[in-house]
This record gives sequence, C-alpha cells and structure tokens, in this order.
Amino acid sequence: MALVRTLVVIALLAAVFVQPAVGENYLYQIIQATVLVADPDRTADALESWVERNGGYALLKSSDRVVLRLPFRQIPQLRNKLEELSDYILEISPQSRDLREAILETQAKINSRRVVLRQTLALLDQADVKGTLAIEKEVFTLIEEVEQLTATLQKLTLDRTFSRAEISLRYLEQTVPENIPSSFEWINSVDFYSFIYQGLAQEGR
Amino acid sequence: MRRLLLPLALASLALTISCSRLSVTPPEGFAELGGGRSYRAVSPEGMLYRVRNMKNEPRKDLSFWGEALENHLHKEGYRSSAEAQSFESGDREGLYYEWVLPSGNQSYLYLTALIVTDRTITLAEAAAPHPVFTQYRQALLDSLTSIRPRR
Repeated sequence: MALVRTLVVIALLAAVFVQPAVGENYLYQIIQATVLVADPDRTADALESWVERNGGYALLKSSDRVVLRLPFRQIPQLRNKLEELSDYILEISPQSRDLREAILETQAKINSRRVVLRQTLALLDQADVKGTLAIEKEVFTLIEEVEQLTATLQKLTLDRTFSRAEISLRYLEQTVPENIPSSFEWINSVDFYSFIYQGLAQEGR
Repeated sequence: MRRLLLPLALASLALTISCSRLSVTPPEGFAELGGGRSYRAVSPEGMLYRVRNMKNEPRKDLSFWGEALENHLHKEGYRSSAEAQSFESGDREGLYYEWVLPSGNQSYLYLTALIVTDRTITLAEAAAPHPVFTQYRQALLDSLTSIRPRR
C-alpha cells in the first residue's frame, strides 16, 4: 500500500514538473483572411502600425495583400482589428500545426549528434594520419548537421512565438448612390458622378 | 428680353468675382486649367481637382456645414473611407472627407473639403480611381492648405 502511495505521489509530482509553463505555446497558428475594405492602402498601413505596436512585424505589405507575424497571444485581437478596419470579412480561416513533436525530435537529433561529436573528437588522440583525416571528415559532417538542426529549431521556436496572418484586401464593391435632394442648395451640387463625368465639360470644355 | 439681360450680366459678373477670389497652389504634378467659374487642375492621368466658392447661406460655421454635407452624402449612399480630417489653410480651419464609390468596374476615391468663412463656403473636390488617387493624396492635401481668398 505504501508502495502504491509513493508511486502515486511520484506520478503527481512528475505531472506537475512535466507540464509546460503557463502561457507556453507549441502551436504554429496561421490565419488566412479576405476582407472588403474601402481603402486597401490605408488598411494595410493601419494593420502594419497595429502589429508593430503589439510586438510583431509586417513581412509583406502591398495594395492587395498584407502578411504579418504577430505574437500568438494577439491572434484573438487580430480578428477584432479586422472587424474594426474592414467593412466585411469575406473569409477567415485559422489553421494551426502542433510543433511539439517536431521540436522534441529536432532537440533529440541535436543532442545525439553532439554526443557522437564528443565521442568522435575523443578518438582523435589515438588515431593515425589516415584515421585523423576520416575523423575530421566525420566531425565536419556532424557540425554541419548540428548547425542545420539548430537553424530548424530556431525556425520552429520562431513559429511558435509568432503566428502568421495572411490578409487579402479587396476593394469594397457597393451600389451606386441615389440622388436625394438636400434642403441646402449648394449641397445638391456636390455629386461624384457629375464631377467625374462633367467636371471638365460643364466648364465649357 | 432686355429685362433678362441685366440680371444675367450681373450674375455672370458675380461668378467671375467669386472665381477671382480664390488663390490655390496646384497639387504637384497637376496642370492648371484657365477660365471657367472655378479653380481647376488636372493630373496627367485625368484626375480632376476643383475648388469653388459658394455663398455661406444660411450663415453657419464649418462644423454645421461639415455635418450637413456628411449626413447628406451618407444618406445618398456614399461610403466614407475614414473619419473627417481637419486641416489648416492659413488661419482658417477646414475639414476634408474621403468617399469610396464604384464607377464602371473600379473603386474611386472622392475627396470633398470645406473651408467656411462668414460669407463663403469654399468646396474642393477631387476624384480618381483608387491607385491614382493614393498617388496624389499628399499633393492634394498640400494644395488644400494653400487655398486662400484672393485679396
């Protein structure tokens, strides 16, 4: 009985220590959205300023597309921001990929290669010229692999820290305004269509 | 017939005076068009910029006329692309609005700007397809700040 209790206590303690720290994120979140906006350039600028204020950055910004990297905690706020800046959200599709397995696998590969590297280097002292050359070649290969894996790990760490948002900006399509008379005479002369079609003609040109 | 000629002559004289009371620096890259009742300038892409004076009747201030114009255009179905923005034109304050409107298969931006004095409402307008407008937006805003009554 005492043995069982000890095992349960150990299991509980292990569960506490193995759990990731609060707020730790292992998901790579990608949001793809298409929004209708009145002024795509202004919206792109507003999204860039917003993401920079919130610790992220813009990877790409053009008149029809914005790609942002933003801290994963800002994902819920991004949706609110899109609702605020756009007239209509045509489409929004969140996706996420669990990076835990890839991170653990990469870390394990790095560790194992480092162990092999240490063991290989230890052989150098006992090796003859031919053996030294073979060991050097092996060492270079291992160092290259460790560097590549370290880069992969950094990329995975970046992906779990910064989510990605790809936002397509489309011009707002709308119906043509009606002509409603105003009580103020001069306001009746303010008309976009007369302006663009007769702006020159009405002046006798 | 003669009875009609005098009022017509007076009206055209008043319009000419009204026009001559405006001094505007054209937006950079625009060509000024002479003649006509209002100040006009055009970009190489055909974007028109027009500034004209109207009587401030009934005599009200900038916020009143800004609100009246905004309400009316909203009622007609114009969609604003941003909140009204204020600007300084010499010692006078102005307000400008940008509207988004469809024409053909393009989205246009239409700028309306107001400067109001005791006697005059100065209205500036500019419109172009979105990419053209954004190219000249800053030049237009610079020109708005240059509008002065000619003394």
